[in-house]
Amino acid sequence: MSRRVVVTGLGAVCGLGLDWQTMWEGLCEGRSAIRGWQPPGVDDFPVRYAAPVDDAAFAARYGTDADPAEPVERRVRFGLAAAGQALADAGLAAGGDGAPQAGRIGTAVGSGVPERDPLELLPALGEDGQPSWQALYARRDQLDRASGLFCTNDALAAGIAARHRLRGPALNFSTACAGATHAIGHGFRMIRRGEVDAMVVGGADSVLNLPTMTGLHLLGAPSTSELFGDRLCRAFDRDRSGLVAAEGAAMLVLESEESARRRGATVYAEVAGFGSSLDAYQVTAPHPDGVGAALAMRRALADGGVDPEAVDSVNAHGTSTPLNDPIETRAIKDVFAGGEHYRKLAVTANKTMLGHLIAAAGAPELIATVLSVRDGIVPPTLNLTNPDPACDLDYVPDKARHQEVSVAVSNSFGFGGLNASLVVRGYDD
Amino acid sequence: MTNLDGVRLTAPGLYTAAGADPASLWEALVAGKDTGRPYESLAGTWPGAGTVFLVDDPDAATLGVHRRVLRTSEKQARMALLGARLALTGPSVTGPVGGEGWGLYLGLPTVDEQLLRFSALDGLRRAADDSPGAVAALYGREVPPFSGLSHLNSTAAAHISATFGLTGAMAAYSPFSDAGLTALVDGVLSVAEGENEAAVIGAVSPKVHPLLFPQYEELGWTGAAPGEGAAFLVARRAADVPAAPDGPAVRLAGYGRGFGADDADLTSALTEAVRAALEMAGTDAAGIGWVLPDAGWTAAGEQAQRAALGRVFGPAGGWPAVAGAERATGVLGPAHPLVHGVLALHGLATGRLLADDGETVREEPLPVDRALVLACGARGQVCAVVLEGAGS
Repeated sequence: MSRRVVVTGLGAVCGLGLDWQTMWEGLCEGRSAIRGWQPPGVDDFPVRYAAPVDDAAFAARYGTDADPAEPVERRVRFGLAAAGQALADAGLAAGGDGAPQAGRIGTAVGSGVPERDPLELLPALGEDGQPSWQALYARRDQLDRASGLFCTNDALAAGIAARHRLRGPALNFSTACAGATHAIGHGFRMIRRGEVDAMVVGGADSVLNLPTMTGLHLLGAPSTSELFGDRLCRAFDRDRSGLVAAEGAAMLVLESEESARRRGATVYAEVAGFGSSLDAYQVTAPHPDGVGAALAMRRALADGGVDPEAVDSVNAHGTSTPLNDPIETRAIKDVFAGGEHYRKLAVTANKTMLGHLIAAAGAPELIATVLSVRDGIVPPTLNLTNPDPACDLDYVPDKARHQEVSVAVSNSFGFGGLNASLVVRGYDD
Repeated sequence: MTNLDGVRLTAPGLYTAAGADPASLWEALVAGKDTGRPYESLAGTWPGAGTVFLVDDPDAATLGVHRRVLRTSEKQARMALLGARLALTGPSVTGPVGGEGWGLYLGLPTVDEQLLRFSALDGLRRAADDSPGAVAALYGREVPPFSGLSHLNSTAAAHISATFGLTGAMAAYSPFSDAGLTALVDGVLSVAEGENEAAVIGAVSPKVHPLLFPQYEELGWTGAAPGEGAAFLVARRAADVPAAPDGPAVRLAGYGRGFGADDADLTSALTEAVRAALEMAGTDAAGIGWVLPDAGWTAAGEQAQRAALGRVFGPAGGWPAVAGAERATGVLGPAHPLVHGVLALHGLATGRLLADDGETVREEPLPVDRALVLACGARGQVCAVVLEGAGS
């Protein structure tokens, strides 16, 4: 069995807005969610900029906690909100006529790592000032149950499934910054092979806390520059200096064409192919020739039976790090070398506006890719004022471009060389 | 659904407290060998966690890697790397390993590493009494280099890929036992669907660490003893599997997976997953010779497994033999069902099974060459697979 898979629902929570419509409007208008950021109460943290979710607006819209009886981490709250939006958008929030049975709807997400804060361990200090696990055990009732100490990576997938009574597989992917794209790709495959009829897929992450940002900073990943202010994320620009971290979530409802048609669901676009690869290079750097990145794109195109020359746009991983951007450029030129088709591609880097949602990054970017195909708009790459000679593609600088996008590719490349690409095309029934 | 007939499971690699090969684990279970040890840590133990099943932290020489790999990995990644090495350098793998046709599918735990050493807590308390800025400064001083890497459990995949040159399709799942069995299912599917020529499939336990116990208690931990280890297999196209170097190859004949939010749901979901796996395998309850249930990690999971197996096997007029590895390995999280997969391969290859009567484990002839392996994730994720002798 091989079935067509379509997108029938969208949901997003990010620095640009608390629903997918606002996010898409912001991307098309070239608005940036990046702003000055410091951990609460700190004024000299070396990382100065990030793209946070507006807490007050989120609380006003979704409440301060998902369920006070079952506290969850910040990333999970974002993910639950986005999943609720996507299911409602698809008309599946409360079942509905012709909706797939609960056992035929699953969940697949990428959700990063727990927000583990050593401050949570202070109760382990005994009266004598010596730490012990027995002391922590004795005081465990004092611990915050929403803290990373209690949280596991599957809380989001299981939370979505439990809240919406979905009884298909509930999977959590751990592939670093490619997590959401892997989740979407595997959800797509599960529907295509007939294992399920629909999947809630995507990702959620929040690294904007002191411990996790300290860890990322020690890896040298985020930019510490103050030169460009909120224009710091400069993918493909000569002056790029590192990623700008973000938080949020995005979810999509993928569905078999048959199921969507039976329900009369609105179809945004078709997911045509998925490909993944490994760099087999280094844990701390991508392969300098972009071999793994190219393999993921090639596999996604082959998986969808799509000729590279049919592709109009690439939603790049585009992290604004010194290593990623020229390597991704090289990989794109390699994959689309036939007839120098790469010269015709509109390549965009959503992270220049959204920031880098880390494990969730591929999900809002896939939504942007889907809407790009639906609306014929390629969002811009912001802040590209001093192009890097090693980055010599058409990156759609500054302003969104109205053009027909029949087929688009979305890339996510995770730390350690874990790569994933998706192919989206317009849905024509 | 995808036809699984053309894929074989081979090349078991195992690293547990009961040894580094399936035969050692098998013998340890039958002999009732005590492989656990009292748990000790510098800051005492978590009450209720008296016995654990630990493995040595593999060094660079054992792993066959440069020492710098140790700087960018933690114990769970090193256990995984050793499991992969044992699988890929064993007698079942002939010919070159690696390249674009070789993929990787992993079940991984939530990372277990502390951001700060416990000994830094007193300094942290003083900083916390001072200001958030002082805490930030302390983190900057005390958090070890590459600690950010230890937050990413997926570094295990990066190390295995780099060490063996795997550039095929991949995925990694976390954090509980269902993740291990999902890796098995999707790894086999990747070969069956032509995405990979071969898939290295593995799972690893968390490093046993007191930091994990609050999590376990939150999820309804029964107090079962945790263990450490890794289990690996290789899924290959049938045509690429050489003739029986260590017994007949095995295939994944069927699988089912689902989710159950509460106790009743969980039983139903597991029952449906088992029935789906049997149906895909073209068999029924009478066609299963051996059941390897998931470890009893939560009371809800244990009850659901018992009830689901009762629903499936009760009407068939009798249960097959039931036994797992827990007595000799402890509970291994994502690695647990893959250890069972490796044990099942060993049994299917040699025509034997293990039966646990509650007191001892004994060896018996395998009446039907199919085994059922279950996973019951801590939050309601379930997965069931039927493994079958490839001659069936």
